[in-house]
Amino acid sequence: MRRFWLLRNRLVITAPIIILTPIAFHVFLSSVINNIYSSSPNGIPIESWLLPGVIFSFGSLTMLAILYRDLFNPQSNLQFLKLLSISPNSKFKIILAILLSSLVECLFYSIISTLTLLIFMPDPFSFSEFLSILFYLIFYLGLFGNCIITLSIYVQRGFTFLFLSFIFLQLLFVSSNILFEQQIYSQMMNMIFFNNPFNMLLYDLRYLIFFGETSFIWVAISIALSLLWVFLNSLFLKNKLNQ
Amino acid sequence: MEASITLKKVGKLINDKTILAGLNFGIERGSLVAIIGDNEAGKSLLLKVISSSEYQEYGQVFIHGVDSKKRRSDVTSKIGYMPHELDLDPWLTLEQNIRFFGLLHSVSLETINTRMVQFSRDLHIVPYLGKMVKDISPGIIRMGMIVRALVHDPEILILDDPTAFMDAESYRHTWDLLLRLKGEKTILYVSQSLQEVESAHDRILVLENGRIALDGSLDRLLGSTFEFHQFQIEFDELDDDLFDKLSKIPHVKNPSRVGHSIHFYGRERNVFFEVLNIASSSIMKDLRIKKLGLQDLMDAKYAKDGIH
Repeated sequence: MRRFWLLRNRLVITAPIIILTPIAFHVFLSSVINNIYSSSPNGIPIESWLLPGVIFSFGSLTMLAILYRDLFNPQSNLQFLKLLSISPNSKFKIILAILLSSLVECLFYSIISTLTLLIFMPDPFSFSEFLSILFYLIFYLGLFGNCIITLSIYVQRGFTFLFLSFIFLQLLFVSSNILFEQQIYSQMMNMIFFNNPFNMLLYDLRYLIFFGETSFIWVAISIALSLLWVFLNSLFLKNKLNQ
Repeated sequence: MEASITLKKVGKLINDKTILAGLNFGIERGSLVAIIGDNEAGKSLLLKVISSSEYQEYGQVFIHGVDSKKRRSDVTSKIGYMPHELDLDPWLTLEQNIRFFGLLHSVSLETINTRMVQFSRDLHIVPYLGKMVKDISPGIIRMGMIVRALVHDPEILILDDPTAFMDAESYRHTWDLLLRLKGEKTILYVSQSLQEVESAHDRILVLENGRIALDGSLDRLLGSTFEFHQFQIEFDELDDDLFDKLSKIPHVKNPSRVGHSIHFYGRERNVFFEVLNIASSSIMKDLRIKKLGLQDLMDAKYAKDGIH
C-alpha cells in the first residue's frame, strides 16, 4: 500500500522515466552493437537477443533506485528500517516484505517498459515469451535486491553505496554477459563471471525463448539462494540495529 | 501501584564506551516521567533501550513484566515511540505515514482513521493530514509523529523531546493531549526545556554520565535547597575588588560573575542586606531575587557539588 501511495504521489515524475529510460537504453545499445554485430553468435537478430538483457538491466536500475530511496533517507541511513523494526514483526518478515514490495513495484515498471520495447522489435515476441521474461526477471530481481539490501545495511554513506552499486552493476552488465557476450577477461575470470546465478538465469531465459530449451535448475537455485540471503540479511540487520 | 517499566542493572556500551551504567528503576503505570540531563548524558539512548529500538548489553528491561529481549513483539506492540529525529517519509502525506505505521501494527484501516482524526483534532493538525510531509513545518511533523505513536493505542508512550520545533500554540495543544492521556497511559519523555519539565511531571529523573544522579518530584529534588534563593545584582561597574569583597561574605554561596553582574545563592535573607551594605558605595542598576528551580539544580556546579 505504501508503494502504491508513493507511486501515486510521484506519478508525473515516474511515468516518463519508466517509459523513456528503457527505450533510450535499448536504442543506444542496439545501435552501437548493431554496428559491430547484426546478429547474436546463435544467429538471432541482435535487437531481439539483447531485449531480455535490457529488461534485466532496466529492472536492476529500477530496483537500485527503489531500495536506495527507501534505505537511504536524506536524514539518516536505515531510518525506514529502524521504523519497521519497532513494529511487532520479525526481521525476516521485514526484509522479505521490503524485497517483495520492491519486486512488485519493479515488476510493474518492467512490464510497462517491456511492452514499450516490444513495439520496436523486428520479430514480435509471443505472449508466452513475454511471460517467460517476467518469470525469470522475478528470480533475478530477488537475488539482485538481496544484494543491494546487504550493501545498504552495511554501507552508511549514500555516495559509497552508489559507488559500490554501480561497480556491481558494471560487473553484471559487462562481465556477466547480461548485455555483452564477449569473453574479455582471463579464462578463470570469465568462468567466475559466466557461472554466477545472475548470468545463468538470463542464459536459461534466452535458451527458453529462442531455442525452446528449458531447464529450471537455476530458477530453483536462485529461489533457495534468495531465501537464504533474506535470512542472512535479517541477521545482518539485527546485528546492525543492535536488536 | 504496578510497575509499567522496570530496569534491572541495565548497561549499554557504544564502541566499548559505557553510555548507560547499571540503571535500576521502575516507572509506575499511568505516571508522567521526565528525563533530563546534560548533552551526551545518555537520555535518548535510554529511551531507545526502553522502547526496544536498541538492545542493552547488560541487564534486563521489563515492560509490564515482560522481558523486552525475550518477547520483543509483545513489547513493541505496547509501546508508542517517538524518536528525536524527524523520521516521517517526506514523499508521503502525513496521513499516509500514520496509516502505514498503523498497518504495521495490524490495526484495521477503519480504526486507524478514527484514531488519526481524533488525535489530529486534539492537536489541531487536521488541515495538514493530506499534505506531503516535505511541505510541512517541523513542528507540525512532530505532532504528526505523536499521532503516529498513538495510532496503535499503546499503553506506554516514549517521547524524545516531544515539543521540539513547536510554537507556543502547538506546545499547548500537545501538552493538553499528553496531560489528558496521563493516567490512561504511562508517559516517559526527554526534554531540553526545564520549564516544560517543571510544569509537567509526576517524577523527574536526572541522568548524568549514564547514571541516575537524582530521582523524584521537583519538590523532593529541591527539598534540601528549599530555603535557598538566587540573587543577581547588576552594577554600573563591578571591579575585581568589589567582587572579591562580596564573595568573601560568609553567607554568600557559589558567587559568579557575568559582565558587571554578580550571581550568588543565599539561604538567609540577611545575606542580601550584608551585600547591599558592602556595595552601597557602588551604583546598582538592577537586582533580582528568585526561588531555586530546576535550572539551578541542573547548573553544572550545583549538580555536582551542591551549594555550600
